[in-house]
Amino acid sequence: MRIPCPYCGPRDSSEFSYLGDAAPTRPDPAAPGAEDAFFDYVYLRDNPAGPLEELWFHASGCRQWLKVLRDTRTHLISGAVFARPKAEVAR
Amino acid sequence: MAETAANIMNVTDKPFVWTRPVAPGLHGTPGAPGVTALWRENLAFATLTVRRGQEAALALAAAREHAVSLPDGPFAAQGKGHQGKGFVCFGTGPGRWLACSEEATDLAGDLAATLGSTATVTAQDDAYVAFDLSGPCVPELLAKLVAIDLDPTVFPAGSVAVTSTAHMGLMLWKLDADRVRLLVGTSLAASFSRTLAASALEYGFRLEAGRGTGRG
Repeated sequence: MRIPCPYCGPRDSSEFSYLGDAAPTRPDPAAPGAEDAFFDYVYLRDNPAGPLEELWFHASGCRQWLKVLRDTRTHLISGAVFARPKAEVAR
Repeated sequence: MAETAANIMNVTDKPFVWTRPVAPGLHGTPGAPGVTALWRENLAFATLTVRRGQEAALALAAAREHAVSLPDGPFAAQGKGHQGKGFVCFGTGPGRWLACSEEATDLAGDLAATLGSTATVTAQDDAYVAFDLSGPCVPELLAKLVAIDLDPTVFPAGSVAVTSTAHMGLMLWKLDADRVRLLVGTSLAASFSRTLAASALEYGFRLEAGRGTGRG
């Protein structure tokens, strides 16, 4: 699999480490129902057959988190962008 | 008899043999070497990381103080340092650069004095060892080491790639049409010299040691 890193260019997937689905966002721990929300956040994942937006870390390259669109049926990768807006990229 | 992988690797009963660097000299296929590597430990390095929200200020200061346009990608740009001593900086990630100089004696100090309020400057003089590669078989050698398209049409002189080879972090910097500089972590330099030698034996490999400059 080749991932088109927006900084480094196309790179082999062995340069990256994989986190998983990019959709879950951390719930507010102070909000009511936080416990249930955290259960869903930690354990519940969709398992779509098709395009899925995932987080990959370019560990051997620019050391940035990327959002990569991968088709779970074919491993076709149709795009990758920085996970954070460029102005607030993690150093 | 041509040297074999087994005897350049010096597989003997000596302890810790795998941690020793390849000896300087000509190895592998006899005749004119297809790959020559100059092992250098006499380069000054410093990393530059922009502070949050200071992107524009850093770009301005770098242009004003060092006549350099900080590259917004993995390629190199020339700069002028303290007392006119030149350096090159190249992008290693968004908002991060590595500066390298053959002349400066205190590169990190010079950069911190001018850019320290808009960027974090860290001395890396002992962090990297450079292998300057030249010779007709360098493209064939690099094809074995990295999975990156290095054709001159897409990877011209001045291009840089931060990548890894044989599980070792590697920065590949195309100095000009004929020379490539490889930067590896100092602690991996001996291991990397073996990877390099094992890959280059078939072309004839010459290692020149330009080390021992007193730093580190």
